[in-house]
Amino acid sequence: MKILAIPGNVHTAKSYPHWVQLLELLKEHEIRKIEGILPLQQVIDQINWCDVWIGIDSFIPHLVAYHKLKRGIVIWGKSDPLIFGYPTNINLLKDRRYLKPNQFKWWKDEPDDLDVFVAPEIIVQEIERIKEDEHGMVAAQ
Amino acid sequence: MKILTYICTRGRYDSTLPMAMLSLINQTRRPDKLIVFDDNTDQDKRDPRQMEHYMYLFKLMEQKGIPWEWVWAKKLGAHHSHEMANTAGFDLAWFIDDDCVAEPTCLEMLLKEMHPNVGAVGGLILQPPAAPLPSGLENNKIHRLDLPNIQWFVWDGPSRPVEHIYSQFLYRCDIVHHDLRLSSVVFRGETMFTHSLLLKGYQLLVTPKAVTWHFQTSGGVHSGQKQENWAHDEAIFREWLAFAEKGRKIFVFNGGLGDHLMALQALEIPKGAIVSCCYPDVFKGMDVEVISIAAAERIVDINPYDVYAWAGRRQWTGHLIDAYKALYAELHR
Repeated sequence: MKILAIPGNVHTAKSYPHWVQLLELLKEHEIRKIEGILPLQQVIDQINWCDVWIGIDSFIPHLVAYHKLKRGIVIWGKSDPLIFGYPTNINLLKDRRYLKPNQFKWWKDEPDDLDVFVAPEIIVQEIERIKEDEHGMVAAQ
Repeated sequence: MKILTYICTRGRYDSTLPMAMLSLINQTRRPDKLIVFDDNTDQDKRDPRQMEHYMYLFKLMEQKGIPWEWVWAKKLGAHHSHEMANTAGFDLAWFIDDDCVAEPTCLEMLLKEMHPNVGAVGGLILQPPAAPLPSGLENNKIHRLDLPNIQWFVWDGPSRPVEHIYSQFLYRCDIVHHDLRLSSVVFRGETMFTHSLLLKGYQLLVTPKAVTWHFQTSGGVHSGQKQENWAHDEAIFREWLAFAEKGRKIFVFNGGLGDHLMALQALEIPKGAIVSCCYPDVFKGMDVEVISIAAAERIVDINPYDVYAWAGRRQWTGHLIDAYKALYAELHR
């Protein structure tokens, strides 16, 4: 599968801490990673290239929703996908008990907490499921 | 209807503040809460629990079942305290100055005029010996700020519609907002606030049946102010009024790129609207006037356009797209 990884450019408590392990587990796939700041059209082109993208709670899910691009996997931690997410994506939230009490406060003061995110293996399982679904759809055709 | 009463105070611990508080406590329509916003400097502020006469007032409020709070205000001007009161979760709020004493029926009389289409009601603010209303002076017009306030004179009869109120009024909460760009003197602040209600389609009334006595002692929130603050606030008022009267819609997106994209999914931005934003490219090709955040700050107070502050205040649990819709429905009503 063609997978686009979008870790985000600015480190906040929303940043996923296990990208290295995740990409290692996905190494059999064709992987591209967005690093640095790209013009919006280039980001859209990259999303159009991939079979599935993996990102965090950043501008990417909003860009995808606004332009009605393909679904992706969004890794959540302390922010609430019911407030900031889109049901069209696969929203991986470890547990609602990790959500920060005031969802609308600035993130710059929010401390990191590695425990609030799903393990990389969970994301790999989702990728496998997507792959199986797509094979199923091809077979059905 | 939950009604908050409050007083913004500075430099009047030992003169009129306790009288003002007592007059609120003794209203025939008991307030649902009383807040004192204490704007005294760190050097001047005192602990009211250490002052005998305030202890009597606190005991009286407890006896009468009036919840109260003493807030150390921000010392940025009364408008910051007004805005805290405005967004404190009450239906209505009523304030008097710290050198005033309200008649016991004042709140009851103001409330009688607070019909669903009314945004704010003011009463008479009389300084003894009070003069009768001069002939020819009928109401407060927004373009006749050179004329005195009809609230300052004795008159009788039915309430009068006005275009702005700038002395002590009962108002509908969280409909419009106090302009926090004003200096600590807050010149024109109440005029801007009440006229904003009028521009939203609410009526403004002054009733002669609600009376407050004004004693104008030394101290108060205007004491120690720099002269240039009046000119600063007048300039803000003039620009704001010119913009408000044109009726153009402004959208302010002072957030990240994702917030811009989410707002675009939520809002229909009409042709010719002004869009103040951080990512102008997002609005390329749209028939709108794109301006910077700094440019918007010269026209309006951008604080009420902050969807995060708005949603946080309401402990919003729905999607942020719906918060944008609800916020702008309020702002552009």
